[in-house]
Amino acid sequence: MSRPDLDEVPPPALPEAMPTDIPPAGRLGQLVAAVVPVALGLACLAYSVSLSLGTPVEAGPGLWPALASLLLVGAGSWTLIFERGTRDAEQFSRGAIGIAVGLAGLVVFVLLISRIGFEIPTLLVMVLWLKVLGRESWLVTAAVSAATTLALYLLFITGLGVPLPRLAF
Amino acid sequence: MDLLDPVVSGFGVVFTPVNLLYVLAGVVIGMVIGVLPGLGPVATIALLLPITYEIPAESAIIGLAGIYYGAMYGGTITSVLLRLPGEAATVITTIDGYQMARQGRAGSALGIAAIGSFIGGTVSIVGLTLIAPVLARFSLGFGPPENAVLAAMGILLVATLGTVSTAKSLAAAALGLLLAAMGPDPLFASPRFTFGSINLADGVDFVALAMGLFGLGEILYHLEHRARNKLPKPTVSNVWPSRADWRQSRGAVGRGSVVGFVIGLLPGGGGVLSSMAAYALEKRRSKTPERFGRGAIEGVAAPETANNAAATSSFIPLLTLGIPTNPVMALIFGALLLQGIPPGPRLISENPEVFWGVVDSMYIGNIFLLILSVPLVGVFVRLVSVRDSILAPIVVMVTMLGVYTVNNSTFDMLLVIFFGVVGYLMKKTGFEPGPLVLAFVLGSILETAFRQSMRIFDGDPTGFVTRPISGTLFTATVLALLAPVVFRLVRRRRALASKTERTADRPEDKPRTDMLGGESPADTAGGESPADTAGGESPADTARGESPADTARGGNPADTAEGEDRATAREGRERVPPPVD
Amino acid sequence: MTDSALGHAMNRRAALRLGVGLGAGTFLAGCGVQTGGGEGDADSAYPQRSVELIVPFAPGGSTDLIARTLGKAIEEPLGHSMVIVNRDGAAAAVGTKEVAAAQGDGYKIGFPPSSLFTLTPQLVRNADTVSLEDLRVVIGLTVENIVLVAHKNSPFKTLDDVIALKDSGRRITYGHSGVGTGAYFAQTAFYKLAGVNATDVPFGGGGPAVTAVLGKQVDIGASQPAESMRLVESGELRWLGVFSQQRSPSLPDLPTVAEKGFDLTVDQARFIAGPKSISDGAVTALQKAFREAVKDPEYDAFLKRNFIDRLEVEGAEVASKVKGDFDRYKILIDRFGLQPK
Repeated sequence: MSRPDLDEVPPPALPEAMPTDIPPAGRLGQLVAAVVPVALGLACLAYSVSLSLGTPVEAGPGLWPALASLLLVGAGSWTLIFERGTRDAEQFSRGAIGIAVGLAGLVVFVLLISRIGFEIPTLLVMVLWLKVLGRESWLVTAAVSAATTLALYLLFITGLGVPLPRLAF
Repeated sequence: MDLLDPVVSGFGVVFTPVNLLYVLAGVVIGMVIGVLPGLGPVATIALLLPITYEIPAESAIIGLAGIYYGAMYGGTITSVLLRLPGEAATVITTIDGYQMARQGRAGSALGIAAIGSFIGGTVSIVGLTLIAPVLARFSLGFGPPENAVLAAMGILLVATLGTVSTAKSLAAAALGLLLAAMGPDPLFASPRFTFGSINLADGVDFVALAMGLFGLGEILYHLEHRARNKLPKPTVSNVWPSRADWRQSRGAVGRGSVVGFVIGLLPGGGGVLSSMAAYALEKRRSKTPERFGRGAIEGVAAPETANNAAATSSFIPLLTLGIPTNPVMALIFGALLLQGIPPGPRLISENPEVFWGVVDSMYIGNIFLLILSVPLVGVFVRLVSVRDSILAPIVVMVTMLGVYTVNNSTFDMLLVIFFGVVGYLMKKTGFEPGPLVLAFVLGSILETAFRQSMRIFDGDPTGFVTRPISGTLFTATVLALLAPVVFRLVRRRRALASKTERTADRPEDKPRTDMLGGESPADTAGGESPADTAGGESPADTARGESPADTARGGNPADTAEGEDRATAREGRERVPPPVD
Repeated sequence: MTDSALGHAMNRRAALRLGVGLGAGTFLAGCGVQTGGGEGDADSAYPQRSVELIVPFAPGGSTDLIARTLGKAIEEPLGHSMVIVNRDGAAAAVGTKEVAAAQGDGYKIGFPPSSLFTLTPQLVRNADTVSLEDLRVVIGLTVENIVLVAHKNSPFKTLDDVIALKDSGRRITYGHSGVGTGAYFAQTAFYKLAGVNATDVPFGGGGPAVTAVLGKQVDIGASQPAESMRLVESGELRWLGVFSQQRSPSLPDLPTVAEKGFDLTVDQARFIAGPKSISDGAVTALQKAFREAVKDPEYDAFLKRNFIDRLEVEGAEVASKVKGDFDRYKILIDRFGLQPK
């Protein structure tokens, strides 16, 4: 893109309407997507009421959360009723399995680091994401994992002195 | 020249090689750290606080100020390139900045952010130099009622910033408000929504929320799509804004400077509010508001200018009255105290070298930032063009470790994971995280300020209107809300009047702004073209105006016309590419 | 492959795996994990490495600054550095709980405020609390008074002006730093005792509360002296009185509420504490080091500048002060029904 010397800036050239290649969810999926906010709002409303509401002047702890819950229920219901035609929600595709794996790795990471320090779990998670999820070669996986872990160590421990849990040498 | 004497002598303080080095070091370190997800200016300054013991006061504060600026710009870099807001003030930048990056225009975005920041900061410093003490007094007049009205304005603004349906933006905002309610009740200090967990006793940390929702959520979403096909990264088309870019954004920069400067003086949501207000102002002023949210350069220029101007003017209450207006100022306040220089009304008279040294270092710091950003933008943009499969785990790891530094808590890491899932689900179902995060920040301010105000007024809400400042703000808000409605009515009346002149026109002569080729005048009046709907209405409006457009088709480029119209009719926008995910 | 060859290969692989596993296991066990806790007591040689001081507040606050100043001064007498770790949350409960749960080797200690034990449990509903029983107090360090603060143009120039409002029906608003704090309790009890009609307006901390007084958003307020002293020195604000029995050594000209007939002493003490299980050796070493460190001239200057008084007493005395404060406050809290609703 050269420098156009026009008064009006033309719209940027893009691949036409980058398609989300995952098809929209079926009717049930759309329904669930719209119902969740409403259900959540109702639950929060119930909880807020259980904390005292107080009066508008002497507001109790529950008053504002109750108002916010009402907004959530209202907006969610609007979406449910009036915007059911839109096909925003996507299906869960096979790629979602990868997400589950990636997330599981992260959870394990957090659980491990207070026990064995952050170096090894970092390395393991990097390997998981690079090799399993990213399908990179072993060479790339090893190089990037090691380099990243080292860089992070230098940055956080040596450079910034952050009290991360770590192996003591 | 009496007025400028101290200013000039302040430059004398800054222009020693040592202090110049501190400014430079501060800006560079700040930028590097600000780029790391999870480490914002607050965390950075807190980490470097002990180092400031050993060095003289002016140098320490000059360095810290440099870090502050650098970190803010670093936060902008991650907002644009990775959709990771460094802190609350840069959340707005993610809206258009990230879209620009996805379109290959990251260089323009970052460049205009740097230029805008420089200009905004300079305007602010000039203002500071000239009228600092007066301004500080002004900010004192902002008590809980004023904060309440401001926060309410902010929340209303939030709903207009989304690109999807208003209802969904409001739902996201409501969720943000609920998340903000987690933690101690602002007035009674009793725990709310904490489910008995001590880790939640203080509520959800902003950094964990933003990193999870924006950062991890985005990464997870792409992970799923990546598994289907390899989306190529768009090649970077330029590393600096073009002249046309500048022409488009200079108005935004100018307005953003003023907005940021004024709002930055106020306690509380200074940075967030200024960037939101500047963005909303541009969107309302624009003749093509539908471009916002899809890579409009003003959508980056305005908030970036504003939040840098606000960052600078937020020093004013600290340096003139000793009142820190945000956590970063509180840290710098602490640094000054440690040095034995308590900031207060007498700082200017008792330690002028500190005061003016700091102020003048800001000029220099701004210049350094601009100079440094020229090569660095290119570097960062190329760094990030590495494939997703390699970039994603690196970003995730830095984020996880970065969030730990905020509270030294592994629980925050779990929060990031949790919000990452939430962010992913929200993206899949078409809800936007921006309103959630913004409402999260503003919601707690609003609740606290409102309840404080009610106690001050002894329950009488008319106090909001009778106090001079809050009354003015209140009326302004109401006017701002009513304005678009009024304008639309006026325009409709004008359209009706002028249509009588246009019934003679042939449908093909009409520009594409009119979606309904070959219809009756009645339809023109009823169906508003998107150009009229300022502030981004939902597709429902334009859908109403769609009569049997498809059937009423003559010959001519029938196919393309029909296809185009159907496409535009469905999306309700035209000549604007949909947001690139 | 023939069976025997396969079996051979399997054995070798198994042996390899076992060897690696044992090696790794030994390696890891040998390393140990440094999260600040070790095993067992190293009495005579304490400290062997740097000690962590948990400050249960955010960086930049007064607790943090006291800790950092002292942390610099203690490095020499202690023989190792003292690392300040901020662990903010739940009005100091989060950080203090972590200290209570730490190993007894003395490498993790804390710096809690007395209000966590005397006021928070009584004034905040469902508060997260720590009991002093879970800790062992090493040494007391500081105590700060609470002072009553008003704007320079306020009609309240002295304590008497405030007391004169009694039964006048005029309502005043007072700012404070939160329901569980000394500034809140001292004022609330005072106005009740004095029969003044007053509504409290909470703020997010001492700083915002003082700012509110400065901006005349509220009629009056209270703070620790350090939080408002700069503004008092420059004449913007005025101190009216201090909530104590005797005049403070650093504020000799400020009248006490006791002089006006109000038996109300509220102050904030800060002390060093370790977990209950902390070894005696560590306690003795720490006490010795702190006693040296507090002589540091920079620390002294810092305390003086900020009107902070010393309370360098033994652990037992700190514990009895805490208990005494709790009981005294309880009487007033019960009398005026200040418990959380």
